[in-house]
Amino acid sequence: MLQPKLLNNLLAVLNENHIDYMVTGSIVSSLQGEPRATHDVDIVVNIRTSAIPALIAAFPPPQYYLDANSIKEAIEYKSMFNLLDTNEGDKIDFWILTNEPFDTSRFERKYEENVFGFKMKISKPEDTILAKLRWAKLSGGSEKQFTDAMRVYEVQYGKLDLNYLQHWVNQLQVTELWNKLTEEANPIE
Amino acid sequence: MEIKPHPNQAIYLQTLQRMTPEQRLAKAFELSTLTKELFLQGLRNRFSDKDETEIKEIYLERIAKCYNRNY
Repeated sequence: MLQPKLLNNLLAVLNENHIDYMVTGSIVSSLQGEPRATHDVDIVVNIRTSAIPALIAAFPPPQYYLDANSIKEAIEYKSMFNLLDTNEGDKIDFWILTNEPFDTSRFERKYEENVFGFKMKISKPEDTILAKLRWAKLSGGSEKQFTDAMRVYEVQYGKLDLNYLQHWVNQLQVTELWNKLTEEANPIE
Repeated sequence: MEIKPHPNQAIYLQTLQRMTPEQRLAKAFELSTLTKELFLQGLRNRFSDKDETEIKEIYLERIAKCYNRNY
């Protein structure tokens, strides 16, 4: 099991350098919904350029590929960069925290989960569902993203803040996918 | 449209709900390790003339092609 080790190392580096973060994507949909195979980790980070040297030093070549210019550019344009483990093929996608309302909201709502002896800050189930629906829409209807969202809905059913979900479904314009999800889901009442 | 049948879906969901978040995540890591091993074994079968270093190189090349394209 390589990914827990990589994840643990990454979170330790982020904590040591006071870089606030939130793990999201299929790692979190697996934790909150249905486990599935994945070879990457998606993480939203609030990072400043002053933290770049520490990040580069923590993941040196040849085992890792991490480019300082890509990080600088990602911070400037509020986009993304990635870290590759060139021995194992694992990848971490870093998404720079933006000022977009949904990004701000989900980052503020993040919570800590204890896994494998370490603490990991992750998105709330509602935000995991919404982000997956948004990806499904952006990718032109990905079944994988949609199913991830639906399983989180089914497994977390009864604990979800439906008002929050409905508000952001409207804001993110994913109503069609949300309606499909609630029609097709079979949550246990 | 959902075309795959899901018999015993309620039991499956109850099983997932009974698992702790850590157990569900551990299962995802297990599945990831398994798919990687199956992928490597498939490459070994297909390229039986290659040694482990060469197989690993092919594996990494193929994985790189999947980055951010497997939605």
